[in-house]
Amino acid sequence: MNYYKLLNVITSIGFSLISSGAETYRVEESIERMLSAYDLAEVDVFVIPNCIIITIRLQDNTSITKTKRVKARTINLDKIDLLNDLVRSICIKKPDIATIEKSIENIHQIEKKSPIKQIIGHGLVAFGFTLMFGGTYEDALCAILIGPLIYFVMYGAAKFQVNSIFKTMVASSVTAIIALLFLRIGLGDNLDKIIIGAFMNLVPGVLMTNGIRDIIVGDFVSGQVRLTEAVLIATAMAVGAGIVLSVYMAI
Amino acid sequence: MEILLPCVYSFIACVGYCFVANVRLRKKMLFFASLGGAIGWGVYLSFGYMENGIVQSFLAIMIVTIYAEILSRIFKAPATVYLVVGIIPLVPGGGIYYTMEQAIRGNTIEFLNTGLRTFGIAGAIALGILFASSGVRMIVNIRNLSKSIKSPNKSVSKKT
Repeated sequence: MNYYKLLNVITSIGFSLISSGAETYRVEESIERMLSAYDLAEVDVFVIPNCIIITIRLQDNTSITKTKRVKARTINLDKIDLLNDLVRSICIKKPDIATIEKSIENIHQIEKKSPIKQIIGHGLVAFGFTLMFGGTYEDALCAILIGPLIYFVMYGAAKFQVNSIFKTMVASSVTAIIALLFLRIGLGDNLDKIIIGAFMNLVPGVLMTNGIRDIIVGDFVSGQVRLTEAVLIATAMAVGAGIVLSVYMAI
Repeated sequence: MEILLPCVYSFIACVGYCFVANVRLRKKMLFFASLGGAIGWGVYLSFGYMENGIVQSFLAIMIVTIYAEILSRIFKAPATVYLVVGIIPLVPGGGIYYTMEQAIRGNTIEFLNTGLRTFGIAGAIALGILFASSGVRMIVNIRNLSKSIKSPNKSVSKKT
């Protein structure tokens, strides 16, 4: 067994987990359990949302450490589930490295996000929440057009590696501008309902959930990182739309 | 009807969010995750007579968290999948907007009022997840412990 290769493969599983939005303790526990299955003297794992550090000690007392920096994180819940199943099967079956590599490759192949689904999803979120918060059907119609626009802004910004706070601010400004435009040409009745519906695409729900779940199990550093980001994103949403609305009111 | 229709809307929105977060049909995840969102909003509205968004959110998120933990054990899938989708209707997106609106209108008192209420709802969601998840964890640990006492040869250590 080549332990250097094993460490690389296991790290890449951890990397995929954390970059598709898994909680910190899940990543730590998965890596630790997978490595423990392979007859090592000692395994130590430290994970925070933007870094993974793993050290293993072999039976002959030599140690290997690997650090992996995580720069970008997205949300891909199905990938987490598939990787979770892979982790379970590795712990039980202890397959060789080539087999693990093949199944990771397989998961990456299946889990490519399709843009059409994303566009429909953003539209539906805006549509549903506008109605849910008491908007009229006309409002919902406006919102369903704004939703995909948010996707394009976020996707375009991700291409240029803009940070998430500025990205959210721009997307929220665009939302407000388009909503005002719709109202001007007579489509839609309630400005607030349209904007709130579209806002739900930007809301930091995953960050909040995972931040709290990190804190529950005692990963306070990770929890703090995520909750801080959540608060900043919520502020960015308010500021983005606020700038547009205050300019509009001044005119 | 007043509760049912918003729940249907919530379900539609959560299906949309499932597309965004790439939840698939495997293990019936798409349906059950979205159903969590509908249940959460249903609970929120059925306690509407309280007229207290913070308590309503707290109760709703408790139910959603318990629902997510139960489903994660039935389908052997991470609880986050169900929780992330179920929480979305309860996240105070409206609060963020109205706080901002009061701020740019210059109504300081109203701004502080709405802002604090929004913050309170966020805190209630956090506490709700914390209470329910810790409770479920405790029950599972107690059950595992009693199992291992009954049959000490088999090591029972399974977490999801």
